[in-house]
Parts: sequence; structure tokens; C-alpha cells
Amino acid sequence: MDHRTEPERFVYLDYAATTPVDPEVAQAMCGCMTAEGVWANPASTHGPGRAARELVETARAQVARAVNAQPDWVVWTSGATESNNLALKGFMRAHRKRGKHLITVKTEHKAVLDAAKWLERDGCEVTYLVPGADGRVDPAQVAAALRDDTVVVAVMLVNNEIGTVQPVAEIAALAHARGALVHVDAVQALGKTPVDMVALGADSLAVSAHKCYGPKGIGALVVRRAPGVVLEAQVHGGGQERGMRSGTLPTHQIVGFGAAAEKAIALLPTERARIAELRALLETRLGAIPGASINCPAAHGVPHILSVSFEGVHGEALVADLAELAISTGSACSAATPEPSYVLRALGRDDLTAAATLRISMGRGTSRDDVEFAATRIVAAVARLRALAPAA
Amino acid sequence: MSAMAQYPAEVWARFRSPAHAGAPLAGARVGHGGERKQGGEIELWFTVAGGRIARAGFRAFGCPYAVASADLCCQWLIGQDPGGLLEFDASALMEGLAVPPERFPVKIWLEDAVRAAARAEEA
Repeated sequence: MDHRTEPERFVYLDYAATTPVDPEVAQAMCGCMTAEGVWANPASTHGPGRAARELVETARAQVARAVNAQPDWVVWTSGATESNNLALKGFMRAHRKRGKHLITVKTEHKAVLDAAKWLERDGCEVTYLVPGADGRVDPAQVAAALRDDTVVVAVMLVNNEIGTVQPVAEIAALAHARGALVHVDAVQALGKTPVDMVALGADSLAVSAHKCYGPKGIGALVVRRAPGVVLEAQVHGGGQERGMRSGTLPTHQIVGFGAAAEKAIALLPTERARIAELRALLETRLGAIPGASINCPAAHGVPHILSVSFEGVHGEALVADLAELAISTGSACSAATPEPSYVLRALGRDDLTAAATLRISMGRGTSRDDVEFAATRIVAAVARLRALAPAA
Repeated sequence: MSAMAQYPAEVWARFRSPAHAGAPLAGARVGHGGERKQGGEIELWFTVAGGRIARAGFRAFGCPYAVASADLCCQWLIGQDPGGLLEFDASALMEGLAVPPERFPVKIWLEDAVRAAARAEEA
């Protein structure tokens, strides 16, 4: 007999993985799907098509405003993975004459790292920078790695596992001084911290809707329109998006992204302050556990992501013991031996510590009571599992 | 779906409330299996009275399967003749808990711990 019972309370603390679609966003999307709504192909020249096109362009302006870009810089994609691939492969291929060197960071998202590996197999040379213990890259590392044949420097704005904010503007200035382009994965930043593409000096910026209460399956690569900023398309077909990304535009998804981006930016000041208070509370409670270490201090990170490692605790057991919480761990537990996060490994954490790491990410639905509950449960779980373990 | 859904019911129950968890009693024979640095470790102990195992317990650093397997093993050990444990085979316990094949290190840790405790009796 299965005598398991679901916990009475369940708290979602995995907003860095994805967010629920905002009801207003869902409503706007619903208006673009059925026969009563604006459902026509936005590339069509007839009236219904033009109506769809108008909504697409409104959304384009909304997303552009969210990152301080121009509307015609926005290229719709299926999400951030495609955006990162398009940027890296597109820039490297379009600038073959300049060179074949790419610089990125070991703690980037797999969408960047795997694209970089693909480019290596395609004949490119990639320099992988190793950040400091808090995840930050020293701009001096970039300066030292830049070469005359460097085409792109790819660095994320906010790390998805530990929340570190990279000094993108300083890095971009160095890269531009050597004639290199700068690509920024801003997926974890949009709606969570101000994103100003111009101030950052980014030539391209990857963003995704589902991280900011929009739908899954839609993202954008925002590409600065300037001399020398040229991409080679990776998807060919109908020539949509100025030939940079062919394919029928999904009006409902795009409208959802636009609405989500606009609302996220409107709420950003209040939400950021509220989440920062919750993070401080959580950091105080968890930081007080002996053997706990905060992987990125608040001063260098975004408020909504808190990564904490615990000595003397088995990672999979810890997550299992926290069945009331939806949180991410620092390992992929498909076997008895945990496979620790490559991000935490790159920061110098040993395998056991990396595996016993929780990424707690907060969002609009997170209350103070949720954080208190989570902290109490984590403190109890760490204590129980340590008591269960043999003396080290 | 919560985390518990990824484990068999008995594994979950024993992980959350292991009946035999605890530090070795005075005079207990203690054996170890696995190594923390390698991802898991089981410390298993038992006391003997009248030639039979009277009490058994464990401590574990490992996944829920490791904790549950050690707990079930302790339950099974009570009443056994410790002399018959030098070639202890945990296959039946693993099958009883539906421990998946990729978790085979748990079986090795458990067998090593039981056999070491049995050898400790002889020492």
C-alpha cells in the first residue's frame, strides 16, 4: 500500500527555472488564438494579417523598452537557447574574415557553452574564463584574453545558478576597444534587475518570456543596429525578422512576451525591493547554520536568487527531505554518485559541497510567510541529515 | 508532483522516519561501507545476545535509497546469527525496496558494512 501523503503545504521557490504566466498576459494571449480574435498570419497583407502585425509590433516595442533598445533591434526566437545560439553562431560566421576566436565564461548557461563547443568543432577557438569564488569575472581577465582576431565576448548578465551579476559594461568597453562584439545572456535579469542594453554596451542580448511571467516558447535576440554588428541567420525559410530568423511569427506568444515584459518592468522597483527583504531574511536564517556558505553575497548578486551550500549533508537527501519546497539543487541526481553543478565546480567548490547546494529563487508569489516556512524546513532538514550521518 | 514521488513508497517512509537510525550502542560491533568522498557511506552496528543479533542500527550519509536500505537491513538483521553474515548478500533487500540498478553502489556499501560488522565480532 502506498502510504505516502502529499505535504499539506507546498511552496514554490524555483522562479529562476520558470514563472507562471501572469493572468493578464494569458488573457492578452487568448485574444490572438481563436476565430474571434487576432489570429491571422502577421506576414499577410490583408486586414486580419495587418491587425496581427500591429500587435506583433506593439509587443516588439514593449520588449525593446524593457531593455532600453529600439524596436527594430528585436528578433523573435523560440527562447533564450535559440537566441544564444543565433548570437554566437551568427556572429562567428558573419565575421569569419576578422577571425575565429570567441571568449566566454565557464559559468555561462549551457545554451552558450554548448554553442561554443559546437563552434570549436567548426574550427573556432574558444577561451573559457574562470570566475572568482563569487562567480564574478574580473574585467582584467577579459582584457588579457582579447586578441586581434576575437570576434565575440559572450558573458551573461546574471548567473542562473548563483545570481552573480557580471560587470558587463566594463567588459564590453574592453571588448569594443579591441574591435570585438559583445553578446549578453540576460535571461535571469529581465524583470528582476534593470537591463539597459545601451548602458551595458551589449551588441546582442538574449531574453526569454517565461522567466518574467510570460509564456514558454518565445524569446528574443535583441541585436543593436550599427555598422559592423552583423549576424548570419541560422534558420532559413520565409525571411521573417529581416531574414535573421525565418518562420511564421506566433502572434499569441509574442503578444504574451510583450505584455509580460511591460508588466515586469512596471513592477520591478517594488518587487525588487520586496524580494531583497525576503532574501535578507532567508540569508540570515540559512547563513546562521554552521557549515553553510552563501555562494554569492547580496552585494554582487540579484536579490531573487540565493544559492547556499551545506557541509556534511548529502545533496539528494537534502532535496528529498524538503518535499514541501520546490527548489533546485546543485547536482543532477540520476545515480548514487551525484553529478555536481559545473557552475559550482568552476567556482572551486568540491563535489560534495556542490551537490549539497540549494538554489532558492523567489518571485511574485513568494510571501514572507513562505520564506519563514522554507527557512524553518531547511534548518530542520540539515540538522536531521547531519544527525543521521556517521561522524565525518 | 513533489520529491517523494520519485521514490518507492517504502523507501520514502524509511527515509523520512528510519526506525533504526542512531549511533552505535556501547559494545556494539560496527562496520563501515562506502566513503563519503565517493558519494555515500553507511555505518552499521549490532549487538549480540545468546548468539543472535539483539539490536541493530545505522548511520548513513547518502541518498534516500541508502538510508532506507540500511534501515530495512537493520530490521532484517535482528535475530540473525552473525556468523552467517561474512558473505552477506543484499540482493534480496535491494529487490524488496525496488532499488534501481543505477543505485548499485548502495548495495555494495551495505554489504561491506554488514560484513565488516560481522568480522568485527570475530576480531
